[in-house]
Amino acid sequence: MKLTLRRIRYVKGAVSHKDEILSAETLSLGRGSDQNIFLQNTRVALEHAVLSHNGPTQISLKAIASNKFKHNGQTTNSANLNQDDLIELGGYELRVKSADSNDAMLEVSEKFSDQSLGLKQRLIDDSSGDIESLLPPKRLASLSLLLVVILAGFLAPRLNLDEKIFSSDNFHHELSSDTSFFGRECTGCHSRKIADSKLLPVSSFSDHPQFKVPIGIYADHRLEYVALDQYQGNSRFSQITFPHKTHLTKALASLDGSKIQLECSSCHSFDDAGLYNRVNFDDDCAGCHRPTIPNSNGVPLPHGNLESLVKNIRDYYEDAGATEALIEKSAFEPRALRRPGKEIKTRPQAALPEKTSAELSDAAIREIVYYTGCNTCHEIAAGSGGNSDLPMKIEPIDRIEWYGKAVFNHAKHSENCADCHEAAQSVSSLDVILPPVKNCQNCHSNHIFAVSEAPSDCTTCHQFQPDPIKTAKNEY
Amino acid sequence: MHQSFISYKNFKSLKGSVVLCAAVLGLYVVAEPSATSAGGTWLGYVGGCLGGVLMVWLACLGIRKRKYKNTELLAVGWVSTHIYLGTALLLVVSLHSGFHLGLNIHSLAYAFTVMVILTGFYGLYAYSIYPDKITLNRDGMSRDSMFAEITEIDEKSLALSEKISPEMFAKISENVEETKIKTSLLTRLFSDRSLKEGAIYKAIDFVREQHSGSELIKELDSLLQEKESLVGKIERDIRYHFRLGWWLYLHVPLTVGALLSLLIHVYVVLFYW
Repeated sequence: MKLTLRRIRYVKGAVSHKDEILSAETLSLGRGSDQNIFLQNTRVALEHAVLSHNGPTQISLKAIASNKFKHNGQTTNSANLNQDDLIELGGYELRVKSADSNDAMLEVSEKFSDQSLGLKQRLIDDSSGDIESLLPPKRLASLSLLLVVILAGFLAPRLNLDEKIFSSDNFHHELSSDTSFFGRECTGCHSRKIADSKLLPVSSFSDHPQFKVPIGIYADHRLEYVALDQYQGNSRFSQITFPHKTHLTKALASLDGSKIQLECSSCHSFDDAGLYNRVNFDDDCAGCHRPTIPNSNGVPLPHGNLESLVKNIRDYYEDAGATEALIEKSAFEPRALRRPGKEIKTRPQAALPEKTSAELSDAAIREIVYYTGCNTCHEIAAGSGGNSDLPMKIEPIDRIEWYGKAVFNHAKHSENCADCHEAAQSVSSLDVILPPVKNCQNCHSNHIFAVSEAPSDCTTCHQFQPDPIKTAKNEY
Repeated sequence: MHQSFISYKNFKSLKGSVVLCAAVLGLYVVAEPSATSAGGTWLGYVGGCLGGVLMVWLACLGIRKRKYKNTELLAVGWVSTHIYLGTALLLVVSLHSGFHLGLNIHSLAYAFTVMVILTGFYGLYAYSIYPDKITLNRDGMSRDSMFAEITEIDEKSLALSEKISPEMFAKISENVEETKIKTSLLTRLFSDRSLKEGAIYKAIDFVREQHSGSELIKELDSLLQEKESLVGKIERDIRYHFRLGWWLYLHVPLTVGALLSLLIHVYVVLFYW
């Protein structure tokens, strides 16, 4: 084989080379002076390896004895060489420029002219460096973090503009995600007394003021409130007569004569979202309190409209006519009275005057309105109700929407209503059986040692509510 | 005379910091803010100003330690005060926050500050442990001189082995070329396990298998053992330096982050709220 050996030298930055033509069947490499390719480094054996041709277009290198070399970074004792392969041997680098066995070319260079320095540098290069060699400079890391904070400060709040925390017509409650990021929380303003406002300061749910309840309406239609712990049953709102205690503490007779023990859920139900359905007569009261036409074997009457109720009774009596059957069973029967020791003298009975259907229906109306029906729950007032000619009317009920914008899910709270509501002690519908705020604070606490994980953010319960409680008169 | 940054001037900085902590804690407990124990009260503003000034002063250590001519207060005094005031800062900023934390820029500033202080605690631990270990381990040598000594041993070993046999030379040559002083990042950070450099042990085993009893073999064995000892020392030196320095890669950038967050926090509080 024929080999051009090019020795590269680096002197003060300048590169020079010297070519040597070698021609033999095999070429020996080593530190020995008799070697064809003389490599003068103590890390190279006297006879280290042999270069030979391996076919017309390839050369190969084989180590002698147990010697080794690196071929393209891999430690080995033999290798077929191709163009641009790199052999590392001792401190030398041998680059194959041509692998043609008839015109092979090998570039030989030494990394370090000082062999000891080369050996030391090899060891340093193959060792773990200090942390400075592993990580970017601290200044670069600082600058990166600086950019991250700036980006977070200015861009992050704008990434989720759709996420409005609150919205209202009141501009200063128009809190968006950027205000949230800058920590502008409700307590930023509401922890202090706000001028020209009756709002009490609140900095956390732990010092949330007592709940307030409406007790009336001012002339300018604003609601008048009083704190729950100062409420003394002095609500001026018109309500039905309803004692919770009577309904919950003993078994009651239903229309069919059976006894039933009512529970809270007998009347109060909630939907899938945990919102309570409003109690209504037909679903929750009629089972026991459905008005019926007197002496009619239980012909039911509608609830909710006095004129409709009256019309039903009158129609019934007109249809039935003044028959015997319609004569009131409870009509007056003269009672025979006697003094002690004297006998009763019987007198001839006078025939009862026959009543007209109008008279009978009026009597029935009075009975059901004043004595056995409407009066059970409603106040009856004299005068005309609406456009009718009726001589009585049902006092309207003030329908109060309790905390209509409050967020509260009964389903997520205790199943035992009595844990919060003292309904069994309530004897009047003017009683407010909303629990005091302390009940809620038992679980909803932001104290760092709070046991419960129940949230206590403002938005846990509040939506922004300029006028949280609405009232509407329901005319009957 | 050497003075420890921990006990500098008879714990002068520690005493000052304890007084500061007691004053801040006393104010926090005794004062009844008008509405809430948060940053928005007069107490919050006092604590905020104090915390801000402390943070800026503490960060100035980076400037002071590069001013070699400044001798009014020795660098060790700065470090001592830096450590104790830094510890006090944890209490100051926590009380300033009133423990009202959330996903906002104010809590980000607090989180950065706490992380800076915690990494500082590690730094304090590292600087009280590893300098002594490094000195003991090096035994008066620099790392560069240890590398140079290994190189010298390698050259001697190669020369000796050549006198014994080509096989011995090949084995020692392999040891010279393959010796690496490398351990994983986790080992460098957490483990005290010694490095077992395979190439050296293979060579030692090979030499001891010769049973020739010749002086050359004994000398070679002795050189390899010396190399193994030096490799262990260099690896420990790298490990100790690593532990002494890695926390600064968190401490310094987090300090910069905390200062910027502090600026945004102050701006937001004064102009945005």
